[in-house]
Amino acid sequence: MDAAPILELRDVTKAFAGTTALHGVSIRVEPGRIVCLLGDNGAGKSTLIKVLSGYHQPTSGQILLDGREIRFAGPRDARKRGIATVHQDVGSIPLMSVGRNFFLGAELTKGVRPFHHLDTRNANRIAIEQMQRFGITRITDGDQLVGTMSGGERQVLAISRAMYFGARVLILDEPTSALGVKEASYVLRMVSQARAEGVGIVFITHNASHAMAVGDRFTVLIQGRVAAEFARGEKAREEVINLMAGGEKIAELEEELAIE
Amino acid sequence: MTRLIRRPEFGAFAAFVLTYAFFAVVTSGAGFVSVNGTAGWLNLAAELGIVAIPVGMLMISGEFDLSIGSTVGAASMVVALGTSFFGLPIWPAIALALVLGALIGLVNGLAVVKTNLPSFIITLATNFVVLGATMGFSRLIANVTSSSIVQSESARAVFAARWGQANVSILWWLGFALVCGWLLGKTTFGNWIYATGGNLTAARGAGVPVERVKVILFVLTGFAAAFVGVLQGVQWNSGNSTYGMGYVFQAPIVAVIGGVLLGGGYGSVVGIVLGTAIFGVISTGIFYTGWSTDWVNLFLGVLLAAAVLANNYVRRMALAAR
Amino acid sequence: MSGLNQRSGRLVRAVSGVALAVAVAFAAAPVSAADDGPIIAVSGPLSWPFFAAVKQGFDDAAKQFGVDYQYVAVTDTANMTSDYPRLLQQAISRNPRMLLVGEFFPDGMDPLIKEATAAGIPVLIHNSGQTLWEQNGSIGFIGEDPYQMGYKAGEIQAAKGVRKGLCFNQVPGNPTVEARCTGYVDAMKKAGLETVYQTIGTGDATNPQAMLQAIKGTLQSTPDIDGIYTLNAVPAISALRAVEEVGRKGEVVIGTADLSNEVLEAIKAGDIAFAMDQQPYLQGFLSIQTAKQFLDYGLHPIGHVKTGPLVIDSSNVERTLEVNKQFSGVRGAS
Repeated sequence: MDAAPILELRDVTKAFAGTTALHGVSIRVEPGRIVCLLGDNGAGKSTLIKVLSGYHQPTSGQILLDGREIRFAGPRDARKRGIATVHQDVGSIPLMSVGRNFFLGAELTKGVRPFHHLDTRNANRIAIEQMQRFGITRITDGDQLVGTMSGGERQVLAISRAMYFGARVLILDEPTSALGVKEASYVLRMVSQARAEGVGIVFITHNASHAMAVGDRFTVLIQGRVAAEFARGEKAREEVINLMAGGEKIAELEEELAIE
Repeated sequence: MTRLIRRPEFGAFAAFVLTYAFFAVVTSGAGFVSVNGTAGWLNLAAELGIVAIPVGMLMISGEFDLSIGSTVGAASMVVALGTSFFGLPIWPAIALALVLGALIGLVNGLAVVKTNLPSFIITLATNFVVLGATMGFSRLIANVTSSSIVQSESARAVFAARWGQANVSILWWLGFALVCGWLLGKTTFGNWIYATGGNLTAARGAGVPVERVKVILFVLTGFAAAFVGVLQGVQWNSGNSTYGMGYVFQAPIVAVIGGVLLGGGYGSVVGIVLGTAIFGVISTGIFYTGWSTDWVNLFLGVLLAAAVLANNYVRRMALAAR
Repeated sequence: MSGLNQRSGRLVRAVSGVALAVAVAFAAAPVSAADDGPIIAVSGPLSWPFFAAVKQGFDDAAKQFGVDYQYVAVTDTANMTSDYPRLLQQAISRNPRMLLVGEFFPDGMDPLIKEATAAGIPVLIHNSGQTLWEQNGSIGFIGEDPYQMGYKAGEIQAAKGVRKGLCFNQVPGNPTVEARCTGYVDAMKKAGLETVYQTIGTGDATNPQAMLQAIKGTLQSTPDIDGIYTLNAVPAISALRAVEEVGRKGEVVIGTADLSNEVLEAIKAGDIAFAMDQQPYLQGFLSIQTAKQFLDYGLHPIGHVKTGPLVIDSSNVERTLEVNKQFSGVRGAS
């Protein structure tokens, strides 16, 4: 019923000296689907992101890209193959303009060598267009410094940038966690739009409501293991929260506090 | 209006207008605003400005170069000893001096990139090494630490020509400013400079070759310092290993006055040029006032602090401007 | 005894350890001059052509008289006031046979010299410290008084008809150099003439362009200045250019302390009136010669040996230039 996955982890274990961060984790990233990766702090989410984006090699297990086993030489290699990671701090440069940030590392130029120079006007135009496509209408000047934009707008900039440069898989690391309600809704709307365009998305969060709002499939990590896997609509929000917290503890806590 | 304020050089421009107007008023009648008075502070600013531009660009990329001081002196000594002691014609000696400057920059750059130590410390060390080596070798070779330069007409025409009292160095300053301004503001390389200093991890993540950017800027800085050494040597007819020592701190200071952020990532060549001009106006203008010169340092310090505060304020406004 | 030893063996061992450490410390302190210790010259920074000539004098005399000596000086001139006492302290702790000291910073250096002479190390002062050597136990002084040098410059300018003189100090805060200006100002005052004292920002002391612009500014704001006294050869050339740029070449009498080829050529051309030479080479040469004679025979000149100021003007500049070309470094000019 599902399309063939773009990126797949099979039984991946990642061990560091002394500790094992991931135990036999399997995960499938399909085009036009959002996989939500849920888990409390220290559950192994960041290690998983680093394996997916090529920073870490798995200790054992396989990574498959388009059904074929692959070893990423590094994050650059992964990025070149269409796997884009947008981190929580976004990695934008606050004192540079929107246009310059958008094309950093892949600058638009015009003119003949050695006198070719930045095509600022087109860069600004494209950057603004791309952001507007994802619903950011407040930013109209490509010369505006990124430092003057809100956290949500920066997330949108980073994601639209990844999309523009042909990402097939988007790994979004806590894109909404530092944002207010309104800001977070920008980003969530954009994520679902990216899904509509056929991109496979890994959405990492510890906010169950945000996950439930956009996710197609859910994977809950606890202490480096997949504790639960389910599809949209299979579990209620409270259930998911309890799962993330490691069982019934939240409910117990609620009872305890209610008695007092 | 906000567009204007948002430019990094806006604060420096405002500070320049204010300081110039101030000195124009308090020195009235002493000829500070005359053609010759103007040529005077421009001559001073030009020599500092040629080296301050690449130093400022280096600061935008997040690095310092304190070795420029001794590189200026070393270059002047290479030309002096080359022509007066080894009997080289002046042009090969000048070429040698410029190559030496670029090499010092290359060593600085590679050392900074390979060791990841703060460039402040590394280039401070290089500053001493180059100064010591210049003196040591000069004494060993010719038993001097400063020496006359054997001139040629062509060298004087290129490095020491004058129109009235304006030195050709002003044109060189303008040339450096145009080329570097284009490089920083309009090219891919310039974009990388901003990114390297603005957020090293993000720049690296976006595929910017941050190490190469830094090394190239160090080489450019070393070259510019050597260029000033040649300029001063030919102009004053002698090499001296201590030429340029004042630039070690003056160059970063004028860059900061011109709106370059000490921590990197922000600034412009126009700003650095204006910062240098402010420094030239202050440090020359004060002598036209006839006030007691014991206050020179105090005055310079206060004006510099004021300029930096004004800049800081303007930058905050820029970041707040929507 | 043995009982005590047994009971407190640890204590005894500890005490004797301390005693040994104290003995070592005493051995390191200068008790008296060792016969085989080095002759150490604590003198000026070699980046200055002036001290390069002093060292040349030291070296030539050392060779001629078969004396071994070591030259120590700072390389970084930023903190000389505190660096020189430290340098002298290190030299004393090496227990030298004799010390040849330029007493540039008396406040820090004089107590150390007293310590050394009290411990029996013979000290000979050169270059600076002319007023101090008799009180600190040194055997003599070879050199010249910066105040007298400035005073002489003032006298010459007054005699040449200067009415308002400018003393340009490129290194404010250096007491030796400042004494030259004080001497100049006093001599001018005595002749009933006016003076202006000018300094520049730190950092510009080695920038001839900055000095040129500073002097030019002062000449513009105080146009009745008709005499300039500079304290080094580099600002002398800046002063000459400044006078040219304000269009008053030939109207302003320029004199300077110390020499350079440029200055000598300008004296020859009549653009600079005079340079005051304190013959640095002689300060070095005579120091070693005196040290040799003192160490071998106990002989030394009585009182202070003057090496300057020798006034170099149009009458003797040709010969000076010749020597300078033939024997690089000897005149302290390059």
